[in-house]
Amino acid sequence: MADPVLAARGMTKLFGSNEVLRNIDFEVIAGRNIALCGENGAGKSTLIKLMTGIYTPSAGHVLLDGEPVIFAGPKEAIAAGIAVVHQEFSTISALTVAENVFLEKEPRDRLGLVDRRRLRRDCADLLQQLGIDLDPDTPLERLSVAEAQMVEIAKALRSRARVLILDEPTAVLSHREIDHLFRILRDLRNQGMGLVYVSHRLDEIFEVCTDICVLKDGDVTSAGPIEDYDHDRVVAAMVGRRLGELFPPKSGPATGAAPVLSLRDLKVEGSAASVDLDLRPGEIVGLSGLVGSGRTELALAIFGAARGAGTVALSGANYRKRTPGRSLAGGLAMLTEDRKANGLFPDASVAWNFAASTLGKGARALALSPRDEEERSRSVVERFSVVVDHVGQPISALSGGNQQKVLIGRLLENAPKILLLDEPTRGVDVATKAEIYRTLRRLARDGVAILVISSELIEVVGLCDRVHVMRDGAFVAELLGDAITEDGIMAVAAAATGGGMRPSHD
Amino acid sequence: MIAQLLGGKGTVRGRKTREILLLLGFLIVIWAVTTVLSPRFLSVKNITDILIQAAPLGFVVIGQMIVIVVRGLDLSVASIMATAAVLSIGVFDNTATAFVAALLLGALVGGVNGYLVSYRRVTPFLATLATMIVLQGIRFAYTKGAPSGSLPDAFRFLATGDIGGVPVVLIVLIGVGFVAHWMLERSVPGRQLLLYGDNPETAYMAGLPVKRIVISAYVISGVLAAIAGLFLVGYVGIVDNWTGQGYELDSIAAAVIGGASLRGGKGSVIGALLAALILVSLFNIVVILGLSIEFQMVVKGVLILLAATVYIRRTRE
Amino acid sequence: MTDFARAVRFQTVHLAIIGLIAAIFMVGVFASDRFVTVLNIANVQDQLVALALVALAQTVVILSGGIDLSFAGLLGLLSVLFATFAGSDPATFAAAYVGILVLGTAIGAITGGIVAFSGIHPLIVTLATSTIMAGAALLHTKQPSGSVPIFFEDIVYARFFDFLPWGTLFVIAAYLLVGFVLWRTRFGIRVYAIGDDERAATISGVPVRLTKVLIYALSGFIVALAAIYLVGRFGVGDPRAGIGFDLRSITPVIVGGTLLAGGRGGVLGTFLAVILLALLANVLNFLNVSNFYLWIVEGVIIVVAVSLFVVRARS
Repeated sequence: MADPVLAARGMTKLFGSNEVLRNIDFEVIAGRNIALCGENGAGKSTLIKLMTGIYTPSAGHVLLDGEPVIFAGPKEAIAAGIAVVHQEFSTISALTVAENVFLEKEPRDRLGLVDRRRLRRDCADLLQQLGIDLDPDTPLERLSVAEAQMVEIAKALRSRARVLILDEPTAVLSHREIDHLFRILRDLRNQGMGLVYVSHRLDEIFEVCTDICVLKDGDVTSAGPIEDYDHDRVVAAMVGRRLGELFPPKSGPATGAAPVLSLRDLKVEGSAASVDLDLRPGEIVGLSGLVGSGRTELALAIFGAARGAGTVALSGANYRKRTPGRSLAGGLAMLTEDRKANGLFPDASVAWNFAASTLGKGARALALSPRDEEERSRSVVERFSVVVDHVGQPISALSGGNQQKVLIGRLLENAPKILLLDEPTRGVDVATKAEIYRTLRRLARDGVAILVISSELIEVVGLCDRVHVMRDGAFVAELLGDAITEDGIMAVAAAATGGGMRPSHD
Repeated sequence: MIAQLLGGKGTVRGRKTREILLLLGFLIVIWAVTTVLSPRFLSVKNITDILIQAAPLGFVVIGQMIVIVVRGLDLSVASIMATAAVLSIGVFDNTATAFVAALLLGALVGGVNGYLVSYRRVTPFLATLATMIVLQGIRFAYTKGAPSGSLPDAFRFLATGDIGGVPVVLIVLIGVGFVAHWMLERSVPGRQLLLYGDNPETAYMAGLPVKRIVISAYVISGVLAAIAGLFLVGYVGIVDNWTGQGYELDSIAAAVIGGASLRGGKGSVIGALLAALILVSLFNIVVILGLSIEFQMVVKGVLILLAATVYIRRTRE
Repeated sequence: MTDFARAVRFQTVHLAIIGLIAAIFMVGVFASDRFVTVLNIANVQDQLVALALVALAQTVVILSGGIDLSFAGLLGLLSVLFATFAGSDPATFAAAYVGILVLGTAIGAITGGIVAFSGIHPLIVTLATSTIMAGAALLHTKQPSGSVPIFFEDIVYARFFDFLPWGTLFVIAAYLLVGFVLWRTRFGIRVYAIGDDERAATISGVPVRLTKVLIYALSGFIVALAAIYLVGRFGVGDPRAGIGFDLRSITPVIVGGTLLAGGRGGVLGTFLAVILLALLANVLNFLNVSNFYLWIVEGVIIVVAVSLFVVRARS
C-alpha cells in the first residue's frame, strides 16, 4: 500500500485527568477513503481535531508525507492541504454563497480590494466542478441545511486539498442528497485525494469507504480494508458486546386498557397531513421516520411547545390550549432531543436542575428547602447511579450520559402517566443506554405510556411494542410484534420515500 | 478552607460564596486604606454617611441585578427615578399618596419594559432605551423643562431622618435587601428567575411561566428605581428633571462588580449591595485624598474593568 | 437583485423610511412657508452632522455584534484636547487635527483590544472607558475652553450654493467611504461574519480579535472627526460635548434596520434614519411642539421599528 499522506502516531489526548485518546495510530492514504467509526464519545472528533491543529496532542505526533509536523492552528493544517468539513457548520448565514466559500480567501485586485466579479466567477466555477447547483449570490440564510452542507464542502475544497476529512457529513441530509455527496466523494478519491469519513452509519461506510478504523473509548479496536468487514464485525468492535443484550424483554402491546393519550387529526404547523394515535398505559410505542418527517414537531405539538391543529385528549378528556406547564401538571412529560439547547440549566447545580421539576404549575409552596432538594436529588443520583462528587456541582461538569440520567430523574419526579421521549439515548454510552432501556421498560410495566422517537432503528426495534413510521407529518405504517424489524421499518420507509433513513448499529 | 466550610469546592454555591468573600475582602481593604489615609474615617457617623449615600444606588442595583439575571438590562432606571419623583410629588400633595403613586408608576414602566421584552421580543437594551427616552419626554413636557421646586418635609425625613438613631433609609434598604435576598435564594419565584436566566429554552420546556418571570423582573426593577428616586430627591433636597442621571450605568456597573453576568443566570443581592458600597467608598477615598471629584469617574471605570476581568477569569477556569 | 442593491445592503425598511421622510417633509411644507427656506434646510443639515458621524461609527460596531457606549467620554475628551492644542495658526491646527485623529483611533484600538482579548462584554468595557475618559476630560477643564482658528470655523459654517454645508458633504463622503469599505474589503466581509456568527467566523479562520481591534479603532477615528466638527461649530472644547451621544447614536442604527445582534444591516439605513430624525425634530419645531415631545416620539419609533423587525424575522 502507498505511503500515507497524513498520519497520526501514538496519539494521546488528555482533558484534565480524563484520557479521551490512548496511543492511536491512524493513516490517510491518497486515493483511498478511510472510515473512522465509533460511538459518540469514542474519540473520533478529538482525533480529527488533533490532526488538524485545533487541539495539541498530549503525546504522539502528526506525520505529513512521513515527516513529523506540528500544526500551530487550523490555518496551518489547511495550508498543508488538509481540508475539513466539521460537524459544526462554519458557514455564516448573513453572507452569500460566494462570500462563504471564499471567506478569508477572497480574490483581490491590485489595490487589495475584494474583486467581487472574480469572487462570483471563481465560486461559480468551483460549484460547477463539484456539480453543485447554487447561485453564488444567494445569502446562506435562504438555503436549506443540505445546501448549506454543500457550501461547506465547496468551502473546504476551495484551495488545493490533498486530504478531505468529513465529520458526520450526512447527519442532516436526505437520501438523494447523500447520493449526490457520495458521487462527489468518489470523484475526489479517483482524482487521488485521501479521504477520511467519520460516521457511525454503517451502510454509508460500506458504500463509500475503502478502509475502516474503529475507535472505542479512546482505543483503536479494529482496523483494516473494508472488504474484511461485515456489519456485525464493525458493531462488535464499536460496542464490545452484542446489541441484543441491551434490551429487556418486551411485554407486548397493551390492547385492553383505555388510551391515556389520543390524537385525532393532529396536524403540526407547516404540514399537510395529520395523524391519529392512541397510546395506552403499559406500552412503549416507537415513532420512526426520517429527520424532518415531523416526528419532533408532533411531540412538541402534543406537549404544547409547538402549534398544532386537531385534538389531543388525555384519558379521554379534551386537552386544549396546550402549554408545557399545563402538560406537566396533567401528567404528560417530555424529554427533548437536544439536551444543551433546552434540556439543561448548564450553570446550575445538579440539585437545581433536578428540582426544576417542582417549579412549574405544580409548585406547592413559596419557599424552597435546599436541604430537601439536596436529599431528593441525592436519591435520584443513587437510583440512577449518576457519577457525581456532589449534587451541588454544576451539571455541565457531568458527562453526557450522567446529565441524561439526571434529566430522566427530573422527568419522573412528578410521576407522569405519559412520557414523550425524543432521542432518549443521544450522546449516551452503551452502559447508560442499557440502564435507560431497563428503566423505561420498568416504567411501562408500572403503567406509564411511553412514546419514543429515535433515529436509531436498533433502538426502536429492541425497545418498542409498536412502531409508527412517519413521513411528511403523516403515519405511513404501523408495525406490531415480530413485524418490528430493521428491514421491516426500512422497507416501509424506503417504499415511502427512498429517504435518508438508514439502519444504524450503534 | 473557609470556602469549603461555607459551600464546598466545585459546587455552584461554593463559587458564589467565594465571590462574596472576595468582595467583602475588597471592601475591608478599601476601608483599611481609607483609615490609614484619614484616621477620622472609621467613625460610626462617617460610615453611616457612606451607607446613606450608597442607599439609593443600593435600591437600583438590586433591581438591575435581578433584570440582568434574566438576561436583561434596564437602561430606564434613572429615567424612572426622576419621573417618579417629579410626577408624584408634582401631582399629589399628600406624601403617602405621592409615595404610592411613584411605586405604581415604577411598576407600570417596568411592566411595559417586561411586556416589550417578553411578548414583543424587543431586545432589552432597546426596549428600556425607548422607555427611558419616552419618560424623559413626559417628564420634561410635564414640567415644561423647569425643576418643579418644593419638596414635602416628609420626604426629607424619609431620606435624612432616623428612628432610634438608625436612618430611615437604611432600615428600608435593609428590609428590601433582606426580602430580595430571601426571594432570590430561597423562594420559588427567585429560583425561577435564576433558572430562566441560565437557559430560557429549558425553562420554557420545564413548564416555568417564562413571560411572567421576565415581566416580574422588570417590574421589580421599576419599583425599586421609583423608591430610589424618592429617597434621592429627599436626600438632595430638590426635585430635578435629571435626578438619578448616571444611575443606569452605575447600577449596571455595580451589578456586574457584584457578580452578575450579562449572560444571565448569575447574581446575588449581597454581592450587588457590597459592590454599590465599594463604589461609594472608593468615591469617598477620592474626596479624602483631596483629589478632584472627577477622579471618581476614572476610579470607577478602572474598577469596572478590573472586576469584570476577575469574573471572566473565574468563569473560564 | 442588482449589485448596487447588494452593495448598499438594501432592505424594504429603507423604502419605508424614505416614505416617512417624504411625508414629514410634506407636513413641514404645509405647517410653515418658512420650512422650505435655504436657511432652514441648512439648519437641518447642521443639526445632523455630529449625530450622523457617531451613528456611522456605531453602525460598524453593531454590525460586528458589539456596541460602543464610549462616545460620551471620547467626544468630551477629544473636544477639550483639540480646542486646547489647535491654537490659532494653520501649523498648530494641522498638528492638533492629526493628533486628535491618531488619538481617537488609538483609544478605539485599545478599547477594541480590551473587548477582543478580555472576553468582557463590550457594553461593560465601553461603559468603563467612557467613564474614565469623561473623568479625564473634566480633570483637564471643567468649563468649555480653548479655541480653534477662525478659518476653521469659517469652513465649518461655509455653505455651497447657500444650502449645502461642508459638514453635509463630509458626512456623505464618510458614509460612502465606510459603505465602500464594508462592500469591497476583506475587513468589511469580516465585520459581517463576526457579527452574524463569531464561532463560525473563528472556525473559518477570520482573525476575530484583530478585526475587533480594527472595528473599534475605526469607530474611534470617526468619533474623532465628530469631535473636531463639534469644536469647530461651538468654537470651544466642551468636556460635556458628548453627553447623550452614546445612546443617541444607537437610535438611527436600529431604526435604519441594522440588527443589534449584528451581521444584518448597513450604513444606508443609518443615513436615512439620521435624516428622518433630524427632519422630525425640525418639523416638530415648526409645529411649535416642544422638543420634549420629540423624545416621546423617538422612543416610540424605536419600539415600533424593533417590533416590526422582530415580527419580520419570525415570519
